Amino acid sequence: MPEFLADPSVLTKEKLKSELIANNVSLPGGEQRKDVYVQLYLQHLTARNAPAALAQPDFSSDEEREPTPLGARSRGGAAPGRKATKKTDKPRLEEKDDLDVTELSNEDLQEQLVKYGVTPGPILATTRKIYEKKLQKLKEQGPELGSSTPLPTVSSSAENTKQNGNNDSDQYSDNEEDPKVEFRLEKREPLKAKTKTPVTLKQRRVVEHNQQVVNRVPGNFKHAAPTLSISEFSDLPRRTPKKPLMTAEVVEKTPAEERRVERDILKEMFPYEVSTPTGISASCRRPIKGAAGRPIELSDFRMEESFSSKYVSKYVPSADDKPEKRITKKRSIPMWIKILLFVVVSVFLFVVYQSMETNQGNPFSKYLGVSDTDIPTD
Amino acid sequence: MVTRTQKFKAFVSEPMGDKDVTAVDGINDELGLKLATKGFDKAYILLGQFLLLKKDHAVFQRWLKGSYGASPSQAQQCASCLMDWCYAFL
Repeated sequence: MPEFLADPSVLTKEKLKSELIANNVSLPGGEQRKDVYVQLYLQHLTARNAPAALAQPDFSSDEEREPTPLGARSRGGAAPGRKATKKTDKPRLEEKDDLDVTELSNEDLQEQLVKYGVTPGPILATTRKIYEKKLQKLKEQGPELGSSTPLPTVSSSAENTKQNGNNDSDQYSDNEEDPKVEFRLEKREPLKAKTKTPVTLKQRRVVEHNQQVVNRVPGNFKHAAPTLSISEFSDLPRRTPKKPLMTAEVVEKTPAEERRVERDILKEMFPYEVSTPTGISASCRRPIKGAAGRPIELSDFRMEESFSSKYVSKYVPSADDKPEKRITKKRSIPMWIKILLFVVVSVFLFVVYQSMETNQGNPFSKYLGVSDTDIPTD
Repeated sequence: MVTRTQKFKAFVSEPMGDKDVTAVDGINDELGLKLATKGFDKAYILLGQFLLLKKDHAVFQRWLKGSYGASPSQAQQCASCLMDWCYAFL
């Protein structure tokens, strides 16, 4: 005999339905909300599980039916968990409903987020989980906000950088542009999550490196947070500069200083790389033809060169030194090719011109001393 | 050819930027308030929902009517307004 669960909310709706069908319980027509199936499950199946609990379904069904109009607003999994746990976890629930964020209705979730100063966008099925996670993080950070932020582990450094932002200004997002910033931050969090593990692995190296770096860097960085955030910058491969830069935007503490120092550190680490605002630099391309007053040479008419010349023209300032040297070397060679091509083209045009002549006498008579012959007037 | 309202033309003529949801054709103040309380306070959020529903007129209208009590004409106007905006700018 299979034992039926006392807490059916752990099952998905489909499983609940299949369980009910398997035990000859009639399902209501059409697609119902999960809590409907949970109720049925509890009534019919949990009752069978423990015969002593026969009294409970009636009792619980009364209890459960009462909050259904209230819980009718909520979607999916929020309400059933509440009802299922009500029997067993009454004292816990009476403290605070939102200890388990998944139990909150959409409106309640929104209210809780607003309490933390966050203005969420619409909480729908698609966005709900994100906001639940956010609320959880906020609640974890909430009690810690009062104490200083020593940053014990790097794994929480990403959150702590947000915390520092919180300390400086109450919200780490602007009031005006909350929805946008929220979603941007939401995207950053998964990115941070990804970067967390590599950072934790490199933590020890980072700390040593930091000590060297911090000594050299002027004393702005006695705070733990910026150093570790810089360590994130320096450690993360330069090919993914966007992530650390995005986190830098989140940290409102002297981002300009951090970037300056970051660049100094990065220059020390990567002296041969070109410094650009985004940290992205293109690899050195072929010399630019036809830009900055350089003579267009015959090799430009090849496909590859034309593409590279268009693309490289943007990087003229950075690539100025190298192409000049190259071009000076190459100048001598293509010059005569140019002249030759000119001659060939002119001869070709001459031939075409002649072929169009209707009154064709001696085509060369013009040029053999005969003047004022018929000149086509086309 | 359906005659377009001034609101429609005004909305579709330029990127919506940070316009309020009431700037969308078909969204009056009442409906706009309902949307705003649920979090759809800007036009771009409503656009987001429209895009999530894969720019499907019918589904979007059904959603708007079902969740926010919009009238069929309102929903129709809103859907076509957003659709035209997408054609122009997306």
